[in-house]
Amino acid sequence: MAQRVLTLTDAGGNGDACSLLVPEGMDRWRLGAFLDFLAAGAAAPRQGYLARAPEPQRFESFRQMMLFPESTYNPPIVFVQAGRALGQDDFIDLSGGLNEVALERDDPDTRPDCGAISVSARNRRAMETGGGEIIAAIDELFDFQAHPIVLTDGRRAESVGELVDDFADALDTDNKTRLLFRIAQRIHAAPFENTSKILAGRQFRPGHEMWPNMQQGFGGVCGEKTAALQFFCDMLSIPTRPVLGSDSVIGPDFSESLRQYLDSYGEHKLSADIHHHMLEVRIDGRWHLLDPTGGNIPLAFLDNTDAETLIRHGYRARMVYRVDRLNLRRASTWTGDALLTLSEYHIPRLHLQYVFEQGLGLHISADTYLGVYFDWGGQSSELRQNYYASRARKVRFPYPRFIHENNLHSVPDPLLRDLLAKTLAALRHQYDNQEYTGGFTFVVQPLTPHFWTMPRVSDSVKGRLWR
Amino acid sequence: MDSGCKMDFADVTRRFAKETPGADTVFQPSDIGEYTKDEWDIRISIGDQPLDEAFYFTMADPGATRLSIEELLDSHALNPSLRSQLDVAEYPDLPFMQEELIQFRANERAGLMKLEYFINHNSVGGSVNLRLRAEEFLSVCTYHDGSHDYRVLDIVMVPTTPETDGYELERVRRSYSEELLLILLDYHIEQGPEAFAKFLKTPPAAACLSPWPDASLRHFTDAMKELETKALITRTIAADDFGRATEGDSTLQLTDAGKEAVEALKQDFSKTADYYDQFDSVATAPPALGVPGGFDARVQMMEFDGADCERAVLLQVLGRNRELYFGLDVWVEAFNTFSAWRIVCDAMAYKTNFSAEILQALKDLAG
Repeated sequence: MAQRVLTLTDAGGNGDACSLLVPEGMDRWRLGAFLDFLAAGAAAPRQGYLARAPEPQRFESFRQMMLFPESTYNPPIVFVQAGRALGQDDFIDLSGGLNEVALERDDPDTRPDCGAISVSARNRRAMETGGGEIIAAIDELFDFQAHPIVLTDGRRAESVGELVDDFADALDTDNKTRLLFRIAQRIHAAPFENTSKILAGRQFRPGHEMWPNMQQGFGGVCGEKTAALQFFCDMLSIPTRPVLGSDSVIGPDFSESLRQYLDSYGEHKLSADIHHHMLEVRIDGRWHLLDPTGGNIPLAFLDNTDAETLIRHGYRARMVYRVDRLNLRRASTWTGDALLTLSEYHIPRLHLQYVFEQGLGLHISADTYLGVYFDWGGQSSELRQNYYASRARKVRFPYPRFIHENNLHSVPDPLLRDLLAKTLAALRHQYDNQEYTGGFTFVVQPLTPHFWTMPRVSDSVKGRLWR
Repeated sequence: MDSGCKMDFADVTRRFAKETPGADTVFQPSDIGEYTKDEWDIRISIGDQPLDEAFYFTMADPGATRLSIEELLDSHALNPSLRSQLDVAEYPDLPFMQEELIQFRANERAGLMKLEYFINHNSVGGSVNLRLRAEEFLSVCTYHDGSHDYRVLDIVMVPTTPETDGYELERVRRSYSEELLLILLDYHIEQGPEAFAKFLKTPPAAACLSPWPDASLRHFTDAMKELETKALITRTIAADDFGRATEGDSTLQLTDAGKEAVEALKQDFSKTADYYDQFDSVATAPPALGVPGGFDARVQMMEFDGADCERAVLLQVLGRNRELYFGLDVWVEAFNTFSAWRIVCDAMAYKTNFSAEILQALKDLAG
């Protein structure tokens, strides 16, 4: 069936966009009916709606913002097409091949109630709407055949779906630990990367979107991976609490400063910059600290004793050329949710900030760092090459390679060459300064295997894992 | 080789000279006796890992420096039952690092990996025998702010690079045996007739002069036959009517063509060194030659010029280390394993990757 595209752009927020495909003969859609379609969620096809989202989990984020804006820290959404705000009885024009509706805010000066922010609520709704796709992704990544999880009735679990309603009683402590360890391993193994967000024009992926993304071989940054873990725990009603990391001290007033930051729309300065986001998970009354970030950071699955040591004395996290010494602090659920919500909905070009300003680059694996920098030639090129070469020499890495438009053909692997070409095109398109006349150069930095890589697993946890 | 810095083709003994930020470490200083009553540290880093990420274990007994390095590792620093003694307040990761190091050692014992052990700042260089006493290898680490100074056994544990594998070794032999043998012969001829005669008696050389060469020395004898086929050497193998070797009459020498080939290799070596050594310490912003602590761009410059880098680097390594690879007691092992190839591989792995514009600017400076 031929189709038309309806693009929804969060013009009043972070600029993200998502698409809906509607049938060719559908020239218009009453806004009230569109909202009913949104409210129908998973039942929409059964109720006869023909529109479908090519990326269901991406669309789910938008659906929740449109229907439950308060949980995303947004005032009510106003639908604007061709400069005109649409009322419930107005029609969305679908007569073109591509049709765009901008999502603005009802009253930009109205401060939503930040107390209504809730990632768990969003996760539950995402499960109701698209749980099948997410469970299938988790099951494939988990591989229950190779990693047996035994239920209390003696059967082996074949899908995480069997545990959704009854996790607390379905498994004993050992099997709960194994389940979570395996999940943490899978998230850790997913690439630490921003490339897929650049290619998709996506600022930040929430937990429910991360699982299909990881199933396709992609990954994310620490906040996204923690969001994926939190989604899994919310799905099984496992209690969690966030642990934040910063190179400065995170004081007890951080939560309050975050509220003020939100209420002031970012004018009030936060009392600390947050550089890391982990999760504590409660298994049968005992808290465990999990860090599934990946990249150059070993997997951590710690009991409370070992976690206390880190929280009291600091946490070292390697980031390619340097080791960051982070101060850790347990935070309230609301604080973690607010940070994830800000990332998902409120920071324009956050993905570019991750890549450039925070220096996370495009991809970090155990043996390679792929970064990118602005390059307008001449001495700026020399300075940047010198910078990366000096950093490599300081930590005894091989010299990096510099790839740009003019030598892209020299990349021997065709898939990598194609990926870099697409990333280059995406960067040019998404960089918001249209007057920039320069280019971008990729840094390919091989990493020597001289890091600590073994997972940090507490002895008490090891005793509960597979023998 | 201190990877990432200037690669000194003339110094093939591996050594480390890592520094702790904010401190100086001196190997066996003259005042080390002043610390004999103090606690001291065993520090272990992996390869080129920075020292501020190293594992350490504090030894309360000052006299324990008399123990062997091996005993200190197994009974103290890497003894899991002593985990509670680790300084987790300063570095919470220490227990997990200890576990990882224990795993390294276990893998080594199980034959799953090879480890070499070096002492940081050891002036002699080369790997250390773990059975030796620690006190011979201690350093003193002194912080610039005066906060700490203490003795340290500063161990660098290195998973060794894999031996050149079978296929690669065959390829390298096929490609470069001729060069290696010509330099070998020339080296021993230069030592004088008596020394050359001694060389000809070493088993592989003697096998070339035997009517019934030992099949286990085939690599060498086949390579020598190849030289003979190309008329670069002549051999006279004396045997009686029964095919038995007769001593004293067998000889081997370079032909005129062989001597010309050797001379050509020497010219290659000199020309390469004369020109490319200009690029052994460069800056790039702006481009400059001969700067202190600069980048070693020699290999990349050879590549830029279209030179055969592998061959050029190999000749430099062989030419600058003749005694090390061709000495009477070492040449057989060096030939069989093609041990010089490790240096070539390291040079290629750690070559610079500057842009063509920078390389051209450096070439223009060299003239």
